[in-house]
Amino acid sequence: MLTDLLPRLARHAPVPVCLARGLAATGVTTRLRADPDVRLVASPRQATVLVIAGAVPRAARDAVLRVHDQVPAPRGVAVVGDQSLVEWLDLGDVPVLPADDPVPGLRRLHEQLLAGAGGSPSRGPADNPVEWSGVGPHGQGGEGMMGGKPYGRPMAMPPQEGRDGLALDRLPLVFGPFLPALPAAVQLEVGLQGDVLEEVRVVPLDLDAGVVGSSRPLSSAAGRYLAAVAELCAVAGLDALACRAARVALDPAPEALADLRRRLRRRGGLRQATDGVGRLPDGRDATDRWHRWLDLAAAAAAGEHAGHDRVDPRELGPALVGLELGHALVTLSSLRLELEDAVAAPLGAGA
Amino acid sequence: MLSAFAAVVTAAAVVAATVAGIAVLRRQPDPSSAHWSTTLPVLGGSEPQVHAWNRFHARYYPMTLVLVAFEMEMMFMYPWAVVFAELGVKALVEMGVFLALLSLGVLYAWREGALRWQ
Repeated sequence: MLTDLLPRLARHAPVPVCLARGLAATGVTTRLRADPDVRLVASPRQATVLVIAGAVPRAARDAVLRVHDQVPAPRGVAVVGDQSLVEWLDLGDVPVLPADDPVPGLRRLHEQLLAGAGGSPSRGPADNPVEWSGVGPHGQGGEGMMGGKPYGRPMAMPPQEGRDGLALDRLPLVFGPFLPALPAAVQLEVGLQGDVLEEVRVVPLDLDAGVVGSSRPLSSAAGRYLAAVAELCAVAGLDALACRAARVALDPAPEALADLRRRLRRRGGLRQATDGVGRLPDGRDATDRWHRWLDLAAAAAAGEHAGHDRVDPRELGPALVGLELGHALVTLSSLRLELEDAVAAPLGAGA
Repeated sequence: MLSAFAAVVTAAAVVAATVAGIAVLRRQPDPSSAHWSTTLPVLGGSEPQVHAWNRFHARYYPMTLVLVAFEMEMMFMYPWAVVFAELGVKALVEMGVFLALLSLGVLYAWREGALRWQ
């Protein structure tokens, strides 16, 4: 039967994993990205398994549960690290996987789902909790069918229309803190006109209430820089290069590092996606920044320790105004280490 | 003549077999997959602040409705007027039914405030 054949084929495919990543989760992120048995996907809609890893800020509890619900049912859930995340999120009976070897547990979970296991139930409301609230007697719109608040979310009603009456409405959006393109514990608040950002705020999550979960960064400094390069490749849509960079991050030998640099600079490599993108007031673009990471990785692999600066996320907003959304995400991803270290500074931990 | 019917019957049989096959083979949908919280737009953990129609709202909609109600009816009325004398009461009834249906649209537009000067 066709319905039996599909799960059999799916069993041999890589496990599509959505990663909800807290602070200091580079170790598990890089292991998952480097493993051919796992495919880290960009959206929970593409995943069958949600992995929650790292030190998750307490302020992000609702956000984790939203991402959890957006993985289509039947969904598998696994936590990497310790039991505290399971209890805090009230996830019930979900496996806790070891940070240094999470893949076998994920495969087991994937196979259980394919065998018909029910998966983790949705946590959010089954129906929209807010009624349609138009002004009409039947809940329909407002002024001349143009107003109202469908399900509690207002329609755009600009106070003054353009002279041609065709003003494109500004779309306010908040991304994160679990968008793969964003550094951990950071939210991006934007106002979009078309795809162009007309207003940007990069907001670190409030860590005053503390974090839950264990933090396991990569042990080698070179590995951390290369893991950041791998994430930037993934954001640019270069999954094969991301996988290669992640493997080098786990074992940063000088020859492998030189080979990776050559591949990244090739035509069609990362350089093509980052040249001229996200040029900040210091004159550097995203390409300059990942080149700097490679230099620092090579220095760290040779036993020298140069270190990198921290970047306060609150100061980044004005520099991103006028960029397209995709370019802004590449820019933020090219500052991943600098931003995560600044955000995690109150905890005294690196990412 | 019979061969033409055979083609129609064959096509109908193929369609019926395909529909029946899909109905038998399909996996029962999981009701939890239609959960409201599962259908929210993916923003990496945040909720949308404005409605999804924000950028796609058809502001020309009241104008379109009024145009259909008051202008496009003439597309039918002109040819109707040409043959009205010839067809007599039958044509009168047909136009009555057409206008009755059209007036529902006008009433709807009126209720929604599309006729109010803004």
